Amino acid sequence: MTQLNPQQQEAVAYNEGHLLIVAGPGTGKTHTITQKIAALIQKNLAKPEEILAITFTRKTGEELAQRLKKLLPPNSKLPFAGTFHSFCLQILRANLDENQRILSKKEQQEIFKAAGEDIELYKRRLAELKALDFDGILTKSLELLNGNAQLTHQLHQKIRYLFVDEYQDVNEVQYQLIQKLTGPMTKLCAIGDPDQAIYAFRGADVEHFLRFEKDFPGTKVFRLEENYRSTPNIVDCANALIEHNTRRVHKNLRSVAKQGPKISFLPCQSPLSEAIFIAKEINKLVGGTTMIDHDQKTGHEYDEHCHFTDIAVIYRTNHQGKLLATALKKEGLPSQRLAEKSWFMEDEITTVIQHLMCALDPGHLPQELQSQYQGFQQQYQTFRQNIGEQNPAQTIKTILSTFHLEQFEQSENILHLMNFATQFDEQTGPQNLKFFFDELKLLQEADAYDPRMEAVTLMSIHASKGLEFPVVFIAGVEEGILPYLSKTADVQQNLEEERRLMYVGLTRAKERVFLTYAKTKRDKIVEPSKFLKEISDHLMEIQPEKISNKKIWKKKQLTIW
Amino acid sequence: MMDFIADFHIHSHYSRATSKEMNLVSLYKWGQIKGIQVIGTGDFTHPAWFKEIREKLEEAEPGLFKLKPELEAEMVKEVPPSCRSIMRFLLTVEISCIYSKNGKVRKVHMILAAPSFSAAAKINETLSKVGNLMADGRPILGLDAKELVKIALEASPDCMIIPAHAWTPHFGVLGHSSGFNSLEECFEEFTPNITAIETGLSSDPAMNWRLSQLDNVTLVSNSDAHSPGKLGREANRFHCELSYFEILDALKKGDPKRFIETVEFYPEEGKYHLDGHMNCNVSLTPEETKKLDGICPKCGKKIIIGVMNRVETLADRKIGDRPNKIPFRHLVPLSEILADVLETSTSSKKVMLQYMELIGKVGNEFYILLDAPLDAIQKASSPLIAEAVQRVRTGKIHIEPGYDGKFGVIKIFADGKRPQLQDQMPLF
Repeated sequence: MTQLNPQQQEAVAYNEGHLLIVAGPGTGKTHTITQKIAALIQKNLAKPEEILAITFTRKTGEELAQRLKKLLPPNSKLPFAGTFHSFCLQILRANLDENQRILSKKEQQEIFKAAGEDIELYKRRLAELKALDFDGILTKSLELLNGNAQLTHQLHQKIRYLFVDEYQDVNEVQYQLIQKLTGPMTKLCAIGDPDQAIYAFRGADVEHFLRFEKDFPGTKVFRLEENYRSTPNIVDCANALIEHNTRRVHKNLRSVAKQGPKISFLPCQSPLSEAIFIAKEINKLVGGTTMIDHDQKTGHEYDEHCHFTDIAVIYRTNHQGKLLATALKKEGLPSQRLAEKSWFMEDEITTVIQHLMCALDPGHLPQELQSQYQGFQQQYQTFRQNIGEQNPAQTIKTILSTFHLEQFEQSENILHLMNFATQFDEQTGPQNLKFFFDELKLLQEADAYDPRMEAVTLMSIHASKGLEFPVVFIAGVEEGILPYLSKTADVQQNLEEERRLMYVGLTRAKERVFLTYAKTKRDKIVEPSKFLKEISDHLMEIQPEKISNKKIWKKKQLTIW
Repeated sequence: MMDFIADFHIHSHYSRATSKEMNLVSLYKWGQIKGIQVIGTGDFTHPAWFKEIREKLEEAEPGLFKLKPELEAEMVKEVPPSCRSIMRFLLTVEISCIYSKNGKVRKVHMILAAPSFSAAAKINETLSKVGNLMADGRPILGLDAKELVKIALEASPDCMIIPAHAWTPHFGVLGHSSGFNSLEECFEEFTPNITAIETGLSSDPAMNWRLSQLDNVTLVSNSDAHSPGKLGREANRFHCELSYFEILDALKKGDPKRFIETVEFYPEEGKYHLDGHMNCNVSLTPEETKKLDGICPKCGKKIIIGVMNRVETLADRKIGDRPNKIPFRHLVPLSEILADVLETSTSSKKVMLQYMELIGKVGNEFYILLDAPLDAIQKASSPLIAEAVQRVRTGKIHIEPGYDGKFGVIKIFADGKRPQLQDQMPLF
């Protein structure tokens, strides 16, 4: 797509001063920014190094750079495109003494723990270590700019065009940084959608977006309102919902995509039947995954079948994901849950690893295992004598019996471990055992999924920001979950934020949306989300098929209001 | 050197919709009753099944496994003396690859065999990162079939890689609904690593020979059994050393001296032989489908295209144009023959009793179907049954072809035309 629609064209062409681009979901925001930056460079209005583009995630920054590369002549320089953090790191590296350390997430957690989770103590400890945590990178940079007029002046001379993506999600420090970086000659271009502001819990404030024109006088506002992503049904539904919010900038989002089915609403009897229903429906959408499905004509109601990667199941809170993932697994559907623990990080495995460490290498035990070792010293010695000629899988069995952990034997994770161990079957003896053990310790989070895996994605609505899928299930569209019951003081503001989450969820979908909720939870009646009422004109109710668990399924008329 | 029959593709009780009896000791017993000497374990990616395999089997010959002696001693009593023989297992699994390629959703079932526990474990380790292996003994993975070939070869270059029931519309590599037009389109540069393809119940080697693109591909036949009674309904006969590597080599080279023949269903009996709609009761030959533009005359939806039609679409030869490389024979399972003669269902007590009577007196099922003298069969049953076996051997039977998931119906004696043999001797 190199074409621009008239609205996009206007935003690209305007270079007189600051501009604010209100870009609805699916309106070609990244495309527009890319074209705008490319035009600045091609028309010699700015050199690449005079342009700074701040993105919300590292990935968006990389994508922007990739797209620019294709538009610009080969070997041309690319402007900076990355997050606030990576930009600030560059400033700090150039201007602070080299001893300043940046902490990894793990290091941050360890120091925080060591400080007894006391935030003041933690901060003091960071200062002593001359270390910066994630937030510290930004505050330190701001301090530096505030105290160094010369540096600020240099940056003002340099940065002619400052782009800030996802402006609705900037927090106070980021906002001050933007203020600081915008010099008298700098033209600021902020892009975003106040209706998609969903990071209040991290300190973001949609207010920054709403008062942009006051903060930066002379701003011209542009709107991108043609949605290329979703069907008219989905866009109408999202519009009807978000109009109930007050803190927003008016926009008239309209779909230019092909019409699709109405949005389906599916009340279920319990969270379990909800999860099973979603799994069964996905099986239908992909046209059946087994021979039996085909014999039973599963999915014949769908003319065209989709692929696992076309489907996302999203939800308000991460803990909803577990039951949903289990149901999909039981149905045999490949799925990938963001934020899931891998088998080798589960407690049973940790226990076995700790026993192995105590038994095999008592000389190099970390502090926390010392007392465990003391307690079982006798057993560990006997164990060491017994394992002489065992292969790793047999060794694990011996651990389980020596330490009375037989109940682990049927656990999925231990089966997995035994399976992993069988690869080292061909040799026996302590050397091979150590080899197996080292490999086991090397397994990392990144090993959990093979990049070749094609799967249904399960994730929180927050994590789905910026993504799109042909089919989206939103689970738990019920009072208490979406909107989430929050104890914040401002009920109205909280409700608006929750409504925006629903809006973001809906607008991830290209063709089909399924909204589900559980009518009862632990025998308590659950109310459907008030948001459903706000979009009820756009809903098509489908009665879920009767789900096998008869006890949880009492045949009742599905009335919702 | 020995003669033996092998069935590589079966499922354990850890697969969906399988009999509880699909466990190692039952396979040991039923394998012998059926007359199979080498049988796949199926499902080795399932952690619990793999654990059981490792606990109950031990290596007998290179890459082949047998029941541990204490289990065998206990189990051998269950096998009718007339059927007792050696029983070997090889490590196999079927994987359902569902993925998109060239803009289409593809569903391809693949059989893998591994030469050792450690090779199988390596495959399992890699696949456990691609998907969930616990839910089903025949796991569904969002993995390109070509990538699966790579994974198998990385675990061991001696893995067997066999696309399963290659022609079924929904899950065959050459199937109409979600397959490819050639093995190359699916496996690209890894096509030469395909050990063989499985013809499936609805096609036989003669149909496959009509595609010159398959001239250098070995054709195998297996049962895909989900219950012991279905074991060996299609199978492979070998004459070679009893060893995984010998079998592998015979398959790779398609060597007729060692890989003697395949034993096949009459393809019409397969449940995807013709086109049609089961729910609409519409069964169509490829020509009829063509005339109707592929639209069901009853419901107006697209007709499910069967194997016959698909073969004709891809064929570039007439029937009989290719020299017969590895021969094959058609047969009908003994229980179906008995059910037809006794005019009852295959699961009836009457059929079961007659079956066990024959097995006990004459020998294993393959022996009865393929080689046993007719008078021995007649002595153990009836002239009509002996006549029925003879007709199956010579192909003088009538079959109502299968379509859209409905099995074909065997009629050995066309209705009302039973020979008068029946009255000569009372059955029971």
